[in-house]
Amino acid sequence: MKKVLALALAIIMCLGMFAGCKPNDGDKDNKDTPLVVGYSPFSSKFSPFFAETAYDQDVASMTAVSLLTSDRTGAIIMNGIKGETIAYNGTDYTYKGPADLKITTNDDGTVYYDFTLREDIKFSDGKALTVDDVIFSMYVLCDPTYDGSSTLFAVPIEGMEEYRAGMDSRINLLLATEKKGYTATDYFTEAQYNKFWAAFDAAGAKFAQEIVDYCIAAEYGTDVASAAAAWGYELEAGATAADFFAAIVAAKGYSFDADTGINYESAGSTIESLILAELGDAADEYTKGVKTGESAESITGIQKTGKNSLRVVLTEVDATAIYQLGVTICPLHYYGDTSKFDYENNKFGFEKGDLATVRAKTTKPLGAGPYKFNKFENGVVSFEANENYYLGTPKTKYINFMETQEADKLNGVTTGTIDLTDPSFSVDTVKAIKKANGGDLNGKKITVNTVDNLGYGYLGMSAKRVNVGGDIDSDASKNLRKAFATIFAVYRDVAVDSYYGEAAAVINYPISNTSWAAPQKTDADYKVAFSVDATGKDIYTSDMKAEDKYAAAKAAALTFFEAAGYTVADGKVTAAPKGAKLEYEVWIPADGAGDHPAFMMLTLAEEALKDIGITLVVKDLTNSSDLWTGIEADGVDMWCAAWGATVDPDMYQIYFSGNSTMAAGGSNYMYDIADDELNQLILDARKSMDQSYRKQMYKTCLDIVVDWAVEVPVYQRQNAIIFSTERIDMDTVTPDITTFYGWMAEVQNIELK
Amino acid sequence: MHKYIIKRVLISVVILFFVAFILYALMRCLPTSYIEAIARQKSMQPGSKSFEEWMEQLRGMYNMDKGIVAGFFGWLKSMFMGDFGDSWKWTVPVTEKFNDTVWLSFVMGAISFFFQLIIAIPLGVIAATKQYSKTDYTVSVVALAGISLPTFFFASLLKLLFSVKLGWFDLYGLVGRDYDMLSPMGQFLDKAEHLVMPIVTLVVIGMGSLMRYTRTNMLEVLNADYIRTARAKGLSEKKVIYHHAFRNTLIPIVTIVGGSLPGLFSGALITETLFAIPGIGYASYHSMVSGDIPFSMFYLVFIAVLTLAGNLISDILYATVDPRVRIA
Repeated sequence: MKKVLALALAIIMCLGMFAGCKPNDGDKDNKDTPLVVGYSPFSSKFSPFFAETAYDQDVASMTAVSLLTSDRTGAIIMNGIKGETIAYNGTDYTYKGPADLKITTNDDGTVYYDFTLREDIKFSDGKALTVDDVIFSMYVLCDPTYDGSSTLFAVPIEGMEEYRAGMDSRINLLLATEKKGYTATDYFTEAQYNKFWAAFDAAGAKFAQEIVDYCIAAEYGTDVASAAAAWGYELEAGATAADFFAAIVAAKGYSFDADTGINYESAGSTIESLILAELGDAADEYTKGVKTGESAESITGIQKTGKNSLRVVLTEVDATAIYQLGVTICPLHYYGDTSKFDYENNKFGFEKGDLATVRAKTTKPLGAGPYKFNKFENGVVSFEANENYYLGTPKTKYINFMETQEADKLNGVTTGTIDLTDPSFSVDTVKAIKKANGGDLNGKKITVNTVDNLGYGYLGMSAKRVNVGGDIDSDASKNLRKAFATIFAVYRDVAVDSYYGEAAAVINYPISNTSWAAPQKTDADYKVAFSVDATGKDIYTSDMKAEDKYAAAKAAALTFFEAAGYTVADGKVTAAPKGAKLEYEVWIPADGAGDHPAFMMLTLAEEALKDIGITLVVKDLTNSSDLWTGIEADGVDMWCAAWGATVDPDMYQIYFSGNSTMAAGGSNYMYDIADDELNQLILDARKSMDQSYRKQMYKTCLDIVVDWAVEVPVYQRQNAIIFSTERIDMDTVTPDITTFYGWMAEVQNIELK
Repeated sequence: MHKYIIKRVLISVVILFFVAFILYALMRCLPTSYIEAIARQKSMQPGSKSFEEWMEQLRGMYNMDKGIVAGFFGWLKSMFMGDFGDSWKWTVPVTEKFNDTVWLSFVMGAISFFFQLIIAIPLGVIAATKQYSKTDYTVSVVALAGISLPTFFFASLLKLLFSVKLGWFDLYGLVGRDYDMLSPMGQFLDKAEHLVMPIVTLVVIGMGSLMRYTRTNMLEVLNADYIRTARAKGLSEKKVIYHHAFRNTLIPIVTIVGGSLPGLFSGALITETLFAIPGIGYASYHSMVSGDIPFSMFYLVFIAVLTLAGNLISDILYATVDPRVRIA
């Protein structure tokens, strides 16, 4: 027993020692106390080239500078060296950057972007930043094997395609010979040539057989010839699958393209997957990149024009290019190899197609930013001030980014573990902050800065699934969608208010409020979304109460249903026209528990629609990836989700449905909107640099999208940054922060109390 | 004894094979796919390829283009070659990330295990010797509370009381704000301070069952004939309990303790995550959430190995201390 007692005493004494190790703030020099920022967990990809999550990107941007900087509205600063003074919210702010930019549009349609660099910038290791570093950074981003998140390679820079096309897979090179016989080449041997074409023929027969099997199973035919006929090919009776494939190749050529080539005919497998299967273990040597003779050694549109200047030549006007050209400047001597850099001889700091040296530095960034990356250890990324920072040595010597769970963010600030962070901004967060401050949102404990989130929440409808008689753009189809949209739109206010309170606002156009192209309430032709009936008459008046509005919306929806061809009697829909239904489904990823800003809107709409004879089935998904899978398979009528946005309001990605020269935007399949006028406007708006002209064009685009009624804009959410009023000197924090000009923009000025 | 051990090891290998296969199949069927997430993100960039094309490219890149069975044997093969692959989330070899995180978890586990032993065993003995007394009831209630409290609840309670209300400890994290400026001793103490709440959580959650186990076994021994004999020959109560009874209680306790030793390496997923302690549990939690198959597979198979090793050790220990078992 004595031993146990002794042990217990020893433990208590040990614990007593911990009390002594509490840091005593009073004794320390204030400048050495680190500022601690709470962050969601990192994934160690801190290189500006390869950072993927927003948190990793923030670590990268603490340590690096970008070629171009922007002001509080996201507009690019053209005279960074001298600085530009621009008013925001009634205050003049001066913005400086590492370079000046001059844009010249030439008569032949090309555009020059002339950059001039500040001469006194140094990287944090003391070495000078030169135009070579910029060229190196651009070449990394344009390398054929680059797979990070930058899309500089998609900018129409002169010579980009020739440079990137310089590498091609062996399979593509073989295909290009069109089976016309082997001629000596460096790209493949005769054996490889023969093996490939043997595999091609064997795979082709299987490819054709798949079609035949499909046709027989579907009773379109009984043998190869009749199946081919069903597929639109005329073959002689008794033809084999190989004959069928030969006919396909004759019609489609030696191309794998899914729209114009062989794969257009696919009944399941793609031809290349069958070929690779035929090649078996040897497949690797065919998919590998081969340096082709026609490859350009450099990108002609990236030109060094002087010791500290650079010209980028674009083949056409592209308003979005400027945001891509402001690359992060990374040191050639760190990420690359100076011995491999020789601009005159087309060497750019690494072997083309081999980014190994760059990738090796992914976890440890270095640049000319305000802080030096120290280490990532114990869940903390620690930084030290960069004495060489071109805008002045940061006032706070050390900054730590500490991994923090979402649930701990607010308490972390109130208890002093961290000094600033970005909690998710909800009704509960607002309540808790007010409680901590003793009543106000900004008080003695916490100061809150809010900025609009770069993106917005919406309800989408698939034009392919919600229409009348399969005609996606007929008036009847649009009216059907408008009937639903009118009901959804009226319940947006109450739903968003109950979920977000003051942390979000209802929006009326499908564009984030952060964009300069977003229509403002003060604009003359600004309209509340879906606020007219089928005759074009306004349905709401300013003195209407909520209940009156709900009734008005129902009445208006009925006019739309009627216009869509539905039978309406006694304030109820009784029958649907041919090719339309009385029941539609809406999917919402609300964790299976109704936890979603738009969930209340759906339940209220469900009841309202029931009153007028329409069934809306609300499907609450526990797993949000089910939603995307469903949409990709064209299996969802309507759904709730959110779009992320970029600085530029370009609408290509979502609304452009493709034309003879350009493919559809990558997310166009979701709504399946297809409108020639809209397509033309989107392309034209890209080709202009005049912001007010573009704004006008985008307004027309937005009106067209609203008319299609494939999207009900729901909410613009706000993000919050909370600061500890007790420990941070709030006068030193970046004033008037916005989505594009966050607290980090002037991090060098922040001081602790 | 040799035969017994060899037999047990061979059975373990077979079990491990099936466990690994089930784990692999489950990982492949998870709704969160790392590749899908990346492909979706990339396909939404302006001017990008479509989602399907990205998926095809990434599946090839991450060796996910094979079926589950073929993929599993591929994984098994490279594992036998000593190649555990690179973690997708952490972009370093799996073994490197493992080595970075496991020792912290081990230290945390070892300290809390030590405290569990020195608190639970004496309390269990006391509770047994004073059966149905107030002490016994108090100890039992505390033990049951420890067993029943969910980790996240107890940890949150500690955080609320000692950090938010009293301000004694940092809310979470392994190091404090001044860590980099402290002397090596100061750094050690800083980490120690940050481990107090996680360790208390682990001790309270873990000691209940050991306490109950000790009490039950002690009671069994106290009712044995030889204890009555010891008392009858006039030995002091102290001698009876600590010399005769306790030693015999040690037999089952040693077995259970020995079996838990490998578990010290497994980390504490919930506790580490709640206190943001970057140990193996924390790393595996974030890997699993983002669908990082190589790391999650490695960790889960590692846990399986530890569990099997634990069972093996306790069986061997049991056979060592109790000859009757060996025949089996």
